[in-house]
Amino acid sequence: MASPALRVHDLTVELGGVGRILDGVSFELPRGQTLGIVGESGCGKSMTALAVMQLMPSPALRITAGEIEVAGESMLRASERRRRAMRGSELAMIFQDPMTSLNPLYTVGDQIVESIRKNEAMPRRRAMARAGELLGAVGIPDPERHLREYPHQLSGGKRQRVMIAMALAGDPGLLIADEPTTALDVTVQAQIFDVLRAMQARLGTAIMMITHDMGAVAEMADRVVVMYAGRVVEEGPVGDILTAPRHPYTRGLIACIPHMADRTFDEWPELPAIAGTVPELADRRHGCAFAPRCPLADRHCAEAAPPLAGAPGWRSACWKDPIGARQ
Amino acid sequence: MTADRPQAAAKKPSSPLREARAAFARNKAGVLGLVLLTLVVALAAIGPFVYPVDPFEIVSAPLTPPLHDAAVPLGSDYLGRDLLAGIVHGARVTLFVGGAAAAMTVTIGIVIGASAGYWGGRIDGLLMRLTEFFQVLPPLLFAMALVTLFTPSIPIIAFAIGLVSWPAMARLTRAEFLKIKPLGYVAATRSGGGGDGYLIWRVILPNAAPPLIVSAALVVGMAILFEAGLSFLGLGDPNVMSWGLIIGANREYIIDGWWTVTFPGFAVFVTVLGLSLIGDGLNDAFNPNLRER
Amino acid sequence: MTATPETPAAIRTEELEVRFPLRRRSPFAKPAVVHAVDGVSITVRRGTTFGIVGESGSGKTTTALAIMRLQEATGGRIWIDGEDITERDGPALRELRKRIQIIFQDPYSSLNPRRRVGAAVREPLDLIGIGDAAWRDRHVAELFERVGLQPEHMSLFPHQFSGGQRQRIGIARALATRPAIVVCDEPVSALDVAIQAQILNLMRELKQEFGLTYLFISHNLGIVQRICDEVAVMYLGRVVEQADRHTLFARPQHPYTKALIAAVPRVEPAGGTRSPVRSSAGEPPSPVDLPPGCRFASRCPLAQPRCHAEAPVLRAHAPGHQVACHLVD
Repeated sequence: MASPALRVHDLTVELGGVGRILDGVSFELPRGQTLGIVGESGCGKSMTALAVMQLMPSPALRITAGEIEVAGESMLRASERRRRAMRGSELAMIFQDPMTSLNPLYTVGDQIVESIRKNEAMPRRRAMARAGELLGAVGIPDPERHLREYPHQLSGGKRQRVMIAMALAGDPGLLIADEPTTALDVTVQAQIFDVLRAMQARLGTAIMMITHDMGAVAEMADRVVVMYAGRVVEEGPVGDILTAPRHPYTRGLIACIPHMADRTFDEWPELPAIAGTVPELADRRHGCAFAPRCPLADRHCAEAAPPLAGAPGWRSACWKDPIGARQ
Repeated sequence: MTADRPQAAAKKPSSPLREARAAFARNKAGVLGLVLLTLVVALAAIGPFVYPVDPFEIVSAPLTPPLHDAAVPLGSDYLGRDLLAGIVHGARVTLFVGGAAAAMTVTIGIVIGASAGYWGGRIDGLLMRLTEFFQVLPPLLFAMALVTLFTPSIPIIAFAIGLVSWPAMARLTRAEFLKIKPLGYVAATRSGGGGDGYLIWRVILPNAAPPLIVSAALVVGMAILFEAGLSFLGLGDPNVMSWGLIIGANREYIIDGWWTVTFPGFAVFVTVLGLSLIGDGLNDAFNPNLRER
Repeated sequence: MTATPETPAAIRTEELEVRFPLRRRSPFAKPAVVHAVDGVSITVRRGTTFGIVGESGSGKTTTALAIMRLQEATGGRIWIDGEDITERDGPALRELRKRIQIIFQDPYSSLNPRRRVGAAVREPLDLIGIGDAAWRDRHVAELFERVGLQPEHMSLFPHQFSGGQRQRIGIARALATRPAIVVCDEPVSALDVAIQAQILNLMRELKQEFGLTYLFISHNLGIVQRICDEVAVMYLGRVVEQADRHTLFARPQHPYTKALIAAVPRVEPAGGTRSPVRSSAGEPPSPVDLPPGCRFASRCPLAQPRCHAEAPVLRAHAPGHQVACHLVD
């Protein structure tokens, strides 16, 4: 069997002297599939993405253990030169705010051409033609005109489409999407999801989608990784997890999404909420990090951290989960 | 991500000002600048009492080199006046001109820039055209014209320097106001009953202050250079000793008596360097992006 | 509309209009105008939650700011508690600010970074002049506790709080003057889902406790469906559909409302099956120089020639249900 598009094993990232931002994160993303990574801010979702890209935002952050393999090749052992080559041709990333990731001084066409020619030497004219094709493929009408426009002339949805086109310029096997639709309106979000699905069906790109929105996960993902305070707390197929979440945090996340219900409500109901907030890095102690917010927690939960356990394919890290960990 | 989260659990109030102060204290160049400036200010404040020699009195042979005559440790100028006395007594005037010109620059600049940025529209257009008018005048020529129109005196010189330097400050203030005005907390304060004056002076200006303070520190240094330049051209007040006056008066003897120009020039250099380093240090301290964790 | 209710509505607008002139590209160009809000008439009954939904650029936030008198209306009238406040200014406007307050969307930019949060909550009391100093301090401390913070937090600065905590401070500030009406401009859309629910529950408790009226601006239909009594859907500056919540979500009539509802991701416990492609095509056109006719026509799957030529007016479809569409009776 071919190696998966992405394998992260026991990934640990430390912030010098303060603590572990990621603590033994492991998951796999098979080729051509979509993996949703969910959790609140501060849970380590974006850090996981940046670690995979090897774009650590600060020298104080160090990967102290673990392995990251993209299509079977280690990101950690690769030379910086090789990593640069891999970004774009093997893996690419799109961000929440496309405006900050696009250079305002160059036209859309110039920027796509640059990412095409970074991966494959070709004459500018041919690259520009290919850029036009890419824009058409991500559903931008009249690509010729848009190639000559500057980022500020585009709407948020079009900018995100341009980002997707740039990310796909090198035909990478893995696309990392960090909250790709959080800044967009719902109707535009639905369009972006359609574009991503269509690209995946055509090119077989694996997508790692980072989001705090379970609705987006339900829409897009095959598998889900739920993260809390730097650890994976539940991991499994999206259908199973949405139907019968095993970790109380997952249950809480699903419950408190104000998704559209098929019936309307009689009065403003009490919404299910998870009390409290994600603990600060410096405040994380022994035991299950979710215990202070967990309705089921007992003394044992506060003392020992539960391992990620269960059958391969659907695991959870909770002492109270009868299928997973046992006391 | 995690590392960027605000410390909600922190119990001790850490004000933005206090953090900036701590960041400044960690900036070695900024602290050096502060030390240099303190030395100059101390010289201006107590120097004349410690060294009460009249800088206009002829006490030695003209162009006595330094360390040749105990009466004139740094040598004498082309008339035989004590250079050390000139530097000690000139410090006050130099600092006064710098400070007064900077105060004027800041006042005009902030009033015009804040009005333009806050009200926008026609007021903005009018004030910015005025600013551009002053900006395109060559500052040195304009200041020279002003000084020659009136009798050269220290307040007139400070006034002239202030009048030619405010446009940059006005533009900076306007830019900051344009940046801050649309932010939520301005609207929030307005909905809490804040009027225009309150919003301008108590809400927007304090938040716009960091770059303005940095810029003001640099304006002081620039004004000192300006005063030296005017004096060098013979447009200083001949009756008041300043560093610029010493340099200007001795400029023809630079070959025969290098010290007459070098020592006051060095004093100007140290002062401006100190102010510059302070400005840079403040800039880093106020700019959280450059602050290390 | 003609019947006069016994108690005046908390908020009423009539043909509210906000236009922004755009800078001309050249001295010869025709001056362009953005119709951010173009003839919005809404009535918010006391003690209810009135939702305005729409995409960015729909004019929902501008409507809210115009009602707050934080944005000058270029046309139309606004009544608060039956009083015409369209042209109020000076002390009379300040007096109005006691009664109507606002919670902002972005908890990060809506607090002055240089002011201690206790002083920020107290500021409206100081500016409007309510109570004496001792009472203000006590009142602010009580507010902090009421919104789930501790009085010790009052001496901290905004950057020391998380987004959810900042929004609690924003709520405390809005409630400081004991207003009867609170305009909520996307109060939770910048927060994590888990925190969103906490804040919405707090707002629900406060509404019951103080008998508040909310004007709730949101693009999140899931939230609007749960908490609003009445909903207006805005598109490019106009209300295209308005009804009570049950009717709007059970029987949406306007094609835009239908598209909005369809675009919301659903968490389907059945799992495994993905919803089919159902995104409405395109994006809103530029609000500058709008074509005549229905503003949604360029994206509408049902558009007829008439839709491109003639703008539909908002009219009654059923009692309490108004729609602006040529294809809906």
